[in-house]
Amino acid sequence: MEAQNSTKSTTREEGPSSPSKVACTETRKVQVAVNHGQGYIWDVRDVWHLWRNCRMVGCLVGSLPRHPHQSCTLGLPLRLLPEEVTLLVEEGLGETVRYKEMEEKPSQTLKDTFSECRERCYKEQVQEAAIQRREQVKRMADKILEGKRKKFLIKQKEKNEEVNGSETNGSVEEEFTLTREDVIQEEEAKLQPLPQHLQIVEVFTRHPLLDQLTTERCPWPYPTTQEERVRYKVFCDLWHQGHYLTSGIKFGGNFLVYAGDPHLYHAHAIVRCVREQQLRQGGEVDLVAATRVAASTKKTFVLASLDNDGQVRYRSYHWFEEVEEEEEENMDENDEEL
Amino acid sequence: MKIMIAVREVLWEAGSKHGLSCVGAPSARPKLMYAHSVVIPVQNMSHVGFTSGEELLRVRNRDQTLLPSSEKVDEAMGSWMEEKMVESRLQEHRTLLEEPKIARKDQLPTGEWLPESQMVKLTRPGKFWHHMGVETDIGKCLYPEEAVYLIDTGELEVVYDGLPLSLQQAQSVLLQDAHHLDQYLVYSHLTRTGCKVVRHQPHLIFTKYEKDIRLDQHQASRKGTKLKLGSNKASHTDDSSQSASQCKPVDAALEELYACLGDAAVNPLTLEKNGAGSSVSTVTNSSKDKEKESWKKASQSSQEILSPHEIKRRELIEMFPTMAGSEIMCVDVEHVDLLPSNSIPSKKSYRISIEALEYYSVYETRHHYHYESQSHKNRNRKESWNHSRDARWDSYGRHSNWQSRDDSYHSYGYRERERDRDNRWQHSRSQRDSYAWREDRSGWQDSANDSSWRHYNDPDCDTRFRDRFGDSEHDRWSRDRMESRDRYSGPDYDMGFSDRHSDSPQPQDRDQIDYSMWPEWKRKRRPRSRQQGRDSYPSFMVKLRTRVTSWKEYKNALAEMDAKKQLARGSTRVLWEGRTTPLLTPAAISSSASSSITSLSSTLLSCNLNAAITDVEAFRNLIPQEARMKVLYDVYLPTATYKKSNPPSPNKRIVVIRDGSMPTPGQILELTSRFVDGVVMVCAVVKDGEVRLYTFSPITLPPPLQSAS
Repeated sequence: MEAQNSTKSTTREEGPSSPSKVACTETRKVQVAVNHGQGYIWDVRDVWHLWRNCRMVGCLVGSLPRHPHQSCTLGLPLRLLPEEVTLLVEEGLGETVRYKEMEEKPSQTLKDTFSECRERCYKEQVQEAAIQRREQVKRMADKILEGKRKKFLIKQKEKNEEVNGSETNGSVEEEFTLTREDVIQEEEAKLQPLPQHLQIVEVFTRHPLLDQLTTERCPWPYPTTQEERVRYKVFCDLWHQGHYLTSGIKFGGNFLVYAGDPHLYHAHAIVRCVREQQLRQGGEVDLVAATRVAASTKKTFVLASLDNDGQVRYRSYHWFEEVEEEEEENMDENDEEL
Repeated sequence: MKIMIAVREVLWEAGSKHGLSCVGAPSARPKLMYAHSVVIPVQNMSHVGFTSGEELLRVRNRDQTLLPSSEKVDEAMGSWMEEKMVESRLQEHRTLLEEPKIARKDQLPTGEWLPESQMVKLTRPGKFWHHMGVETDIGKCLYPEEAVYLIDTGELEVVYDGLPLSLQQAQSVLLQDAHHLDQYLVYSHLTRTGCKVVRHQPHLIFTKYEKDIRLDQHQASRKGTKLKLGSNKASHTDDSSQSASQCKPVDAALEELYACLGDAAVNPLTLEKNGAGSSVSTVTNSSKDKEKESWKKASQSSQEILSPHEIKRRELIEMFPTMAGSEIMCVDVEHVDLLPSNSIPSKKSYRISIEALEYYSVYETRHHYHYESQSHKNRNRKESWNHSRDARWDSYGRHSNWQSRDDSYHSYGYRERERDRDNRWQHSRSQRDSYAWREDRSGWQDSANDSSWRHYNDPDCDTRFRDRFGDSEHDRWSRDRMESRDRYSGPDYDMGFSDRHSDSPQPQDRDQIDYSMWPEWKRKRRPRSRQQGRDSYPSFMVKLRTRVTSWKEYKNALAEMDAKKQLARGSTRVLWEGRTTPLLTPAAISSSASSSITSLSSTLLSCNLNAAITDVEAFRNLIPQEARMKVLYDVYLPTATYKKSNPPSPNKRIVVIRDGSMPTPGQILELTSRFVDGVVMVCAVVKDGEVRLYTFSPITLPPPLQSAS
């Protein structure tokens, strides 16, 4: 927590010099489950760990249990960018895994464990339901008592009227002898266990018996192409500087750069990674387009490329509306610009 | 340039609000979020993945409201307050994520995953049934993406061999590959926002003309037709209904259903996993599918208990008992002296494959399918043919006639049969697209391409547009084949395509297979082109079918032809493209000499029929079948009414881009003009887990303003 604070506050002043201090005092590694070539996080604790301590954001792609039919807030799993997965592996924060039995037919032991767990869950529910019912009865006891008394009175009245027309109110009141405890006892005697078909069943997001499966290390080849290597280098560099990064496809870039946690802050830069050759070949049209998009979304457009030493160089472009010709000004070529 | 394809992003914002119970102005929310503390539920997990019973019961009464996502801050100040805000938002989000998905047991629909048919069979359908799933011969089934989505939303429990699947497992078991995963993401993205997403229904095309006269509301009911998923027992259940009505419409409808079925059942890459125990056959699903088709046809004529394939297989195993348990067997040819007198082996050894048999059973029931070009691919055999072409051959050649094979079946020694089988196997290899078992792979691919190409590229192709959607059977067949190739054999396609024109059938190869029985499509078209090739020389004059006596007549006839062409291929073609067409054909309009009709044709040509104005025919054949983009889903917007039994025309059609490769302009043009009903084509691109949607719609640029002067 402390380290995170410091990185955040120092981001703007001394971006490059701030070390990649990640508060991962825990030694446990995040398990990135690889499915069809994509890295996923299925455990909410891992997600928490990534968000809080690793400055990894990812992208939620599942449904929210509370409200499945909307797309504003999504739920587990968390899909990671390929760069994030590679970085996690390289920094020793996580590992890519695959589960051997995942795609096979379940073994008998798995099935047994599952039904056993579900059975236990049911038993717990029976107990819990009984407890809840008792609490409910206790809470409502006074009301029940009051109701019963009224009923009793009416009945007595009718009876008395039948027997003799005279009113003997006082004695009737005394005849009603039920107490609160009696009512509770009576209700508890009626209590029945939760029927089988009314039990609550969980629909699992994460595999419930993951610890029973054989975990295999899964090779993670990313980055393979030249473009991917540039992208990964840029991602690494920015991450080490203490920024939060997400996919930039929304704004036509490779990454979006956030100064703080994307849960609170807007991104402030759009990064596009290019190779040095592409940079020299021009592409003014693209550049103007990208800068205009960035300007209208109040962001900075940044071109990132590798120089001859393999260091990442950033060029940021601003588009000034005041100037007649849409001219890009090479503001600064330093990392501090960000 | 008359057409511009505009690419613009689709925003279905209205839909995304769907289902939010609490939609308030975001600013109404107190900014001082940090003040309220969030309680993290204590995790008393008895087993790691299981939530305890107490917890589940407590969750039952949880607050179901979801606060709208709060505003973000532009500038990071790093103040204490901001820290607290971040903290609280993270906590809040975590609590939301931690909640389990629950359902009461008696209210939770259940299904079972069937790996062999790649579907989820519902044992207890739920509310979702009215816009999801499909009725099949084995009961109500869901497509994989539908099932995964329902697991994700906690509305369905899918059991795989007795164990309920979690979403994590379902994504790796039910979804086949990365592209399928992308398709699922698109599906879930659209469905979450309230759209109804169904597999593409190729039969739902109504031209503007058909809609105007309300023909779309009177489509034939498809209630009797069920999707065949292929368990043997099931294929016999509706024999009676089928044999009762052998008319073509039912068949055509079934063919369309097959097309709808798409990749779920016709998935050539997925081997049948539970290799049928001791049975020798390990077949691909696609072949199974074809086989099924054949059963369907076979059972119409005769109520036999065993499928033709099964009979053949038993026969073969009787002959070669050693073959039980294996798929392919090699048999060496004995010394020449030991062979029967009329047998000429063309190879030293033959392979017998079960798969070939399967094709064979298809072949038999379909009667005649000749692919002329595959035989000359087998170079070994060609050599031996040249050597052994002697007098004896003629007699043998007559015997090895495909059609008479059955008559003389028993008079053959089994070497011949074996040889036949080898031939058949060659056929099956060109037929089947899923496996290349042998090294001369490019060869058979060429042949497969070749045959279908020639069919599509027929110069006299005046078949109507609808033909491509299942009117003619072989057309559908080869199209399916090409589509599955399209999906699964990407890298090979270039090679096959470039070779296509170079390999024309050589005359001497014709001897190998008897072509006295032409496949139907060849019988129809082949002779004419042949005749043109041989008997006539190229002429600059347009050949007319009618007899003319003077230049004037000739010119008139030419003008008629031009007018007809213009009517049939210009903007007016929409009139004749649908199932229902005007009583007058283009030819009739253009040929009648009376002035009123001539003016009709000119009127027709002048009015705007809201169709693509370019000559689509011209480039339709330029894009090879396998390079065309495949329409995957039909989408109905949340506001649209949708009935599964009688679906209306969709609001959008979705294409999912594969591997991030952008479509070429040609592909886009082909896609936008493939359907004549003006339904918007939406292209879905999945990148880093985010779904972006783009529409392709033709627009006409507004004419420039005329200056006042």
